[in-house]
Amino acid sequence: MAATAWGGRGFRYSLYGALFAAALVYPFVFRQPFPQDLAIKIFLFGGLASAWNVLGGFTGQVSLGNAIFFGVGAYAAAVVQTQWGWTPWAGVLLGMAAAVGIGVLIGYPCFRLKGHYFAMATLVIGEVVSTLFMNWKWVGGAIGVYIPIRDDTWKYYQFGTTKLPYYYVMLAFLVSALVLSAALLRSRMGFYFRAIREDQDAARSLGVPARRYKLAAMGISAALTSVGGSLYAQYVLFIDPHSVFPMMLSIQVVLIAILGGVGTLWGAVVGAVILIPLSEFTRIYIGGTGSGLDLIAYGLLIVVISVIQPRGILGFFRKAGAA
Amino acid sequence: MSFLTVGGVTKRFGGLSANDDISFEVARGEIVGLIGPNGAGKSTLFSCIAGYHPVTSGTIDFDGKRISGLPPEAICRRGVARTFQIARVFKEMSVLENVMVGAFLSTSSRGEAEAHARAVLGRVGLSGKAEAFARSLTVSEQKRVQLARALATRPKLLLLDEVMAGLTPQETAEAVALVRSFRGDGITMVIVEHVMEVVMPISDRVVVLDYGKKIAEGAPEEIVRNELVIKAYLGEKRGAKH
Repeated sequence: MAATAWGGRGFRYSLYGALFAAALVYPFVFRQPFPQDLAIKIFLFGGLASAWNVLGGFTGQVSLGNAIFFGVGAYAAAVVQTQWGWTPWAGVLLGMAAAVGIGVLIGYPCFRLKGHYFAMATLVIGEVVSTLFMNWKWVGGAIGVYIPIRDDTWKYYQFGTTKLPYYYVMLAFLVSALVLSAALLRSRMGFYFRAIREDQDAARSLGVPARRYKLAAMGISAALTSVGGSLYAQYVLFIDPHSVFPMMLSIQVVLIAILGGVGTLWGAVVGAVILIPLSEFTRIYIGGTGSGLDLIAYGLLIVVISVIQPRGILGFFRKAGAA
Repeated sequence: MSFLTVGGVTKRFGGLSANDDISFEVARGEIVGLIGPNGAGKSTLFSCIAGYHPVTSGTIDFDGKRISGLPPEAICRRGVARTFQIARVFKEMSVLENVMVGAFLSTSSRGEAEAHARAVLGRVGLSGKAEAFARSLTVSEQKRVQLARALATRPKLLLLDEVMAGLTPQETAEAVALVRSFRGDGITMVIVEHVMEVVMPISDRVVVLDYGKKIAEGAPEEIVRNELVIKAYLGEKRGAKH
């Protein structure tokens, strides 16, 4: 329907196919742990930024607290194992349910706030939740949770000898987030999300129940982010409040989405492909303890992009109508 | 039987009464002009009818049911659509997508919504701009997008807030013809304008507000001769001559 600068639908689909095929063979070309780890992080953050984009990009409700849902998912996967001996996959589902519940609890009062005030509220609540987990003894408090190490197993989703399962599961996570986003954009719900972002009062005058749709966006964003958190916990096998509830994570997903192109389908991927390697490489080459040069380079890129193309990198390719 | 009944509506903002005990009725199929000088309370009254402002006191009934107290989206679902005085289009969406948001009220199918939206765009003469971003249009075109969006919800009552203000004479003539054509679809309309010349020829009846109060109501030809109305618009006769 909408015109794009990249030619017709056939061309777009072949491009998607080529990208997907490249992602499938990548770990057989790059067999070292580092490039595989890098790709896993790109998929994770691409998926998280995509999840944020449903709420912040499509619906225009800028959340600075998405780490809450990430942490809830991570803890759910870990705690069902240490406390009840369940499989972490049950934790994935439990985490999603808990994240949706918490998202609605946060959204119900906070969606009365608009613009910056909503962002500030989510930022503060993120810190509160982090502090709560720090003091919650049952989930390990400030010490965190060690997931018991096992032999390679799908049931407990642990693989000590190969990264391939993590790689493909994380790829599936990213692809699911993108497919869901694409389906949303084409549906009535996606139209209503965008109408709310553009002008909430005008949207309501056209029969859009804004509050309910904002809660739906929050729920979708929370559930997806929580899945990312669960997968991350299984990948690193140790979590504590500092590693899964950091404010930096909340901000990073926003930066990735904005850098790539906020409110677009592919922005999250483009942003992750640029920012994650940048942050990894700058940390390796110019990081060094306490110097913070990596963060300066990181910040500089964001400033440059926001000055020359505020719509994000995908803004260079956009013509009209496309979401 | 009355289709829209505004019963003693008062709207106060702090100490200021923007609407003071306003009552009037609109019959099904009628076009009623709501006029008055700037600041008379016309837009506030619209906002009360459409559910944006809760009324301080009084009631509003539409199609036999009470609508005062409902949120705007529920009032729209009952069949009342409105436009805004300043065009409030969804800027970062295409013209077609703007209108589809309205069309999605009666269908969840994207195909149906698109077909309906395209038909409405044809009606308001915007087919050629369907794929353009709404922000790239002129003010007059944005006003038509708003109108199309409201029409796409298939309203029974349309509240038009200064859809013709700021248009060239040519555009105004087109807009008048367009509004008249809606009547053929059985849409009842309340039209706010402060330019009398625009409202008089298309209205069956005119309600005049001044300083938040209803000062006159009647057929257009009576209203133009009404002493109170002339005073409200021009001030005292002597003063108007300079």
